[in-house]
Amino acid sequence: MERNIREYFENETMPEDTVRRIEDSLRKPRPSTAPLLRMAAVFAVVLLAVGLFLSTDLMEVCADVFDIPIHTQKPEATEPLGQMETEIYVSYGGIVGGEGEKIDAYISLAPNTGIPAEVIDGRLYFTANAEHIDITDLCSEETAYVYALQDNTGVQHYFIIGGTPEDWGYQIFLKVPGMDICGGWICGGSAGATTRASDWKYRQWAHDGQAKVGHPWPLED
Amino acid sequence: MTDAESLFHTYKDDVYRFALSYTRSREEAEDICQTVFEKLLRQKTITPGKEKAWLMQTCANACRNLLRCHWWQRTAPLDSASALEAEEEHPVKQAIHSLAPHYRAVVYLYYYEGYSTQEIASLLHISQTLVSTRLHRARQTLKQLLEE
Repeated sequence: MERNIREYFENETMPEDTVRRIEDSLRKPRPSTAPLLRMAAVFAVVLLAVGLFLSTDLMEVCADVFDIPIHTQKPEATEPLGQMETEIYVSYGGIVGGEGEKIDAYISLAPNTGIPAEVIDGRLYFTANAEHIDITDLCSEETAYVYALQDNTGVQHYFIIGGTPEDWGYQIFLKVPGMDICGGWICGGSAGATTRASDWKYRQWAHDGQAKVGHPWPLED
Repeated sequence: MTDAESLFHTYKDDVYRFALSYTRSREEAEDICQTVFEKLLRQKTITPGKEKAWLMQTCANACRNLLRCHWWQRTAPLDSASALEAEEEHPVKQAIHSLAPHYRAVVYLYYYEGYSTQEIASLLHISQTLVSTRLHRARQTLKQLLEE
């Protein structure tokens, strides 16, 4: 097996055109165009999304959802939640797709509020919703910590966090009452510090979290 | 030829393979390589003899940063398979690509680069125990997949 692994990697070499491209950049470094491209892409998505968004009944629902501050009601959670008589400081990004992947709405992601957890001094903390909960021992590679709340518009919010302080990740789910596409579910998140959303299916904690919140679509291939 | 170019020609494939093992995407691996070597160009000093370690560590950081980016999407159906998955026909390739990225990275560093678990821990900023655990699990998974 070890020989096979070595042979596999040995066969992977940098393509010649990439070698030339990097050689050129090393001889004549240019400013990166990536930020401009990203800005253009975001602008295009926002333009598209706003048009689609305005044409749907979701606008009213989502306007309520993101009319921050939102005063919360009693949460329903699978873990201790701390004080909920507070304002929601988090906001979400999400693309709600109907059948055929058409984008129906876009909800912008506010800076500095999108990631619901962070590592401090080697401990993993849940930090969304103005909380600061040490969840290091409440989740693992196999199990997820779930923080749930319902806002005053009736939208149910689920934060799923799993893994270890070295390698953690999260998912956010919203269940919007009355939204008939996707069964009312909006999903967003990052699979982890060292992986991406397409690798959720590899993470046992993600499966565990989804089962806990009752999300209907399992993370399978 | 500059020092950076010289190091590029010496280590380009190592960095590329490492980025590929992390991202499983040729395009992303190529972009990460460019980022890493451009950083090398701007780097004032690297301890002689530690150039490869610096490159691999910078590559690991770049991969992490890339993968840390937000992904917002609906969950059904799941995102489409990567381009690489479409061309996976070799059993070993399939098995390696079916590993999670954090497992692929340690498999690459351990089996191909020949780093010790301690060195990998240092490169990836994780504990040596976690490296050993990941290696063990990756080996088990690969063995199981290759026996099927």
